[in-house]
Amino acid sequence: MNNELKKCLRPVKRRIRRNRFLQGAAWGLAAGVGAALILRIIALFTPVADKWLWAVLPAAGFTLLFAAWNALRPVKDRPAAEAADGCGLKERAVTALEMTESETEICKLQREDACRTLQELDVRQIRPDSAKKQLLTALGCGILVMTLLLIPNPRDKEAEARQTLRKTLKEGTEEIARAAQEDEERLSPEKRTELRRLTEELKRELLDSRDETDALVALDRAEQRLEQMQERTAGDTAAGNDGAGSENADGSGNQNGEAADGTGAAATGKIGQSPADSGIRNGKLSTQKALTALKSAVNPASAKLKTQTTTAGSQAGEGQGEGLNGQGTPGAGSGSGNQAANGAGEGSTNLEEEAGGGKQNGTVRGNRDPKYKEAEYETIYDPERIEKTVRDEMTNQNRVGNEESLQAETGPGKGSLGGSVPWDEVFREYEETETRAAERENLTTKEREWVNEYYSLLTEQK
Amino acid sequence: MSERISGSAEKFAEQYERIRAEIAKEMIGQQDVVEHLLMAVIAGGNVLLEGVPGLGKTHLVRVLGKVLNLPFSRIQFTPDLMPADITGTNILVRTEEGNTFRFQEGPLFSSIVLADEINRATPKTQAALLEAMQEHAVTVAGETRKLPEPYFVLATQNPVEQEGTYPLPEAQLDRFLFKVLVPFPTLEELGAIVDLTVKDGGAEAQQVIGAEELLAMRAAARSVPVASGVQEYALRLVLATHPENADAAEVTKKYLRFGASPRAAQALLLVSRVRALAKGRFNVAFEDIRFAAPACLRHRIALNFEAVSAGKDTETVVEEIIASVSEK
Repeated sequence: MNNELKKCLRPVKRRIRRNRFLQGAAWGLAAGVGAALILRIIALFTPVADKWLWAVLPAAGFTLLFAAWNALRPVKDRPAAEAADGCGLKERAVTALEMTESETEICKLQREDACRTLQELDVRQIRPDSAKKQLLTALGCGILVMTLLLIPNPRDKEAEARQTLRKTLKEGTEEIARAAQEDEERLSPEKRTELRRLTEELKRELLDSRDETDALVALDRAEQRLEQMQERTAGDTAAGNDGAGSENADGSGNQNGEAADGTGAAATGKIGQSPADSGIRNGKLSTQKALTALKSAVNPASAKLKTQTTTAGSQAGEGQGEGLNGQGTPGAGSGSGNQAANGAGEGSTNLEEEAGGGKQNGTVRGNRDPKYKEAEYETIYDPERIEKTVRDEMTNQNRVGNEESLQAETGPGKGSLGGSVPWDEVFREYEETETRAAERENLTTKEREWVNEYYSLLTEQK
Repeated sequence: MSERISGSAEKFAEQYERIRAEIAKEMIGQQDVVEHLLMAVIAGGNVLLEGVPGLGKTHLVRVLGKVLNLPFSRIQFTPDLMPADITGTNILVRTEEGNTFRFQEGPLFSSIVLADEINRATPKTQAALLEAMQEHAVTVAGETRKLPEPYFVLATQNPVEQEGTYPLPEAQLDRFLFKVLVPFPTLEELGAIVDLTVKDGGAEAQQVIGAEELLAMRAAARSVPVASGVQEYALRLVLATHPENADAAEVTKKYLRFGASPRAAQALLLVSRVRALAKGRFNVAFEDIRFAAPACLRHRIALNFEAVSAGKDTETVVEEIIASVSEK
């Protein structure tokens, strides 16, 4: 191509590039705001976190992307010549471009003429195509996006809650990891590996959690495994300690407490099978505490309930301790005493377990955290979710005092045993059953209120 | 040759303006007609002038001959005009050696031929013009004789008086580069014409160029480059006049019986080249094509009955066709 002509076309190309940039920005803005609108519409049905960010980001991103793409595309000679001709050059540039190879006199004259007019051309005459449509589209979509952003959307709250949960879980996971690291120093290599595996799995599960329930299930499972680990450690110790273990199986609150204490003592002082496991037998592990703390953080209702349960449990424990054995030591059970308390008051749900345990043993109530035993709950109502086989469960609802025990049936309800029972359905049925049971029982007003409040808190949280 | 062309191209616009200015001395108004006529002459084409009597058609051709310094002849076409009357004939002449036939050139043997009221002559005589118009030659008694160059036939016809006339056949109409409509002068122009008639010693047109320069201008015009897009536009314009063409405009399909011939495309590009140089450009622009299109197409298309019954004339239809064809 003729160099002179090429040189003359350069300002035109620059101008076209600029126009393309603007044009691209207009298209990008329209596309970006359109995308933001689509996201906002999706956010009506699915929680989308950071709603403002997702409103601005597509618009800005698309605008920049389109503008950059348009501006960086090379401008070819032909469109440049056509654009120049559009400014009144009367096809001089295009003809010169086509005739670059021709060396006839008239063609040379034509090229000279084209170059002269191109040099005189005011490139500002080359205007970008009207972007009115794109801008109007962007404006319309923008108004819709703003409207959708400003009107209350329950999904946004849900998204915020999820985000908070994710943050809590992340922090909690870090805390658990730290606690586990502390605990590892006090554990035997075997237990250390187990604890490490446990925390790793927990971390993965927590990070994969879709909601609080998932997180609580994971935490429950981890807690159970931790307890099992403790139990195994205690069992090992008991096997090595004649007598102390046999007393342990008795099940009474007082003996449990003693046995637990005895076990602890034996483990640390006398038995000495694995001195490194002293931490696991001498009370709660830091990991356990971190788990409990995270559970409380994940489930504020549970935390609130904890306070109430602790109070109610302590009171019930006092009464029962005196009523049953006359020798109970309310709030005395600690450390491995938990296990014994568990054996005595096991229930299928945390409420039952807490209530049962609290009422029977009393010793547990003072220090045992209330548990939202979702894993167990799932075992009954949605076993497939936690990959367990279906089993029927009857709950022993023990009463305060010496009266005859009643059983409350909380087995599979209307939902299918095949799994995937909707939470709402299960919850409602469960609530009705338990409320009826509470009404049938000669519970104190305070205790009945406590049951009711439990469900109302769960409803709120749901 | 090349240098001659470029030299001619460079001073083309100036010469063109001088010729126009000189003709304007004797022709009041009719600028569009003058421009079309001048372009056709430079392009080397024949022109059909259509207008009512008294509009100065004959005078215009005479002035053109004077300005271009070209021999001019005028033939008044009548129903009894015979082909030999215009082409010439072999006549018996007595010489010292004895009687012999000698060719007597007719009025066609002139650079500018004004065929006045061409539609009054019989088709036979009209047909005698065909060879002269197309080949710039006449064949008499089996002998073909070349006509002088440059050579143009400028024919006139009266659109009003149709009784006793013989409409030109399509084949002959196609030989005309342009059909130029001579409009009636405006009030001011008419006043000027009247004034010019009674005044003595009015300005007279002078010779500007000769035959040589005219041929050089023609050569220069033919060498003007045309961009592919512009040429394609001209071709699409011609194709758009064909009702059988699938891409033809709606108006074409509705009102035209047949469209323009390839000669129309040739004429379009040829005249556009002349106009480009006349406007000081060395390339053809879309506007040149648009300028030449009506005069090139109006006599090459035929309206159907529907157009006639709808009161459409070729002018309107051609305008609509031009409007319907996009430049890109």
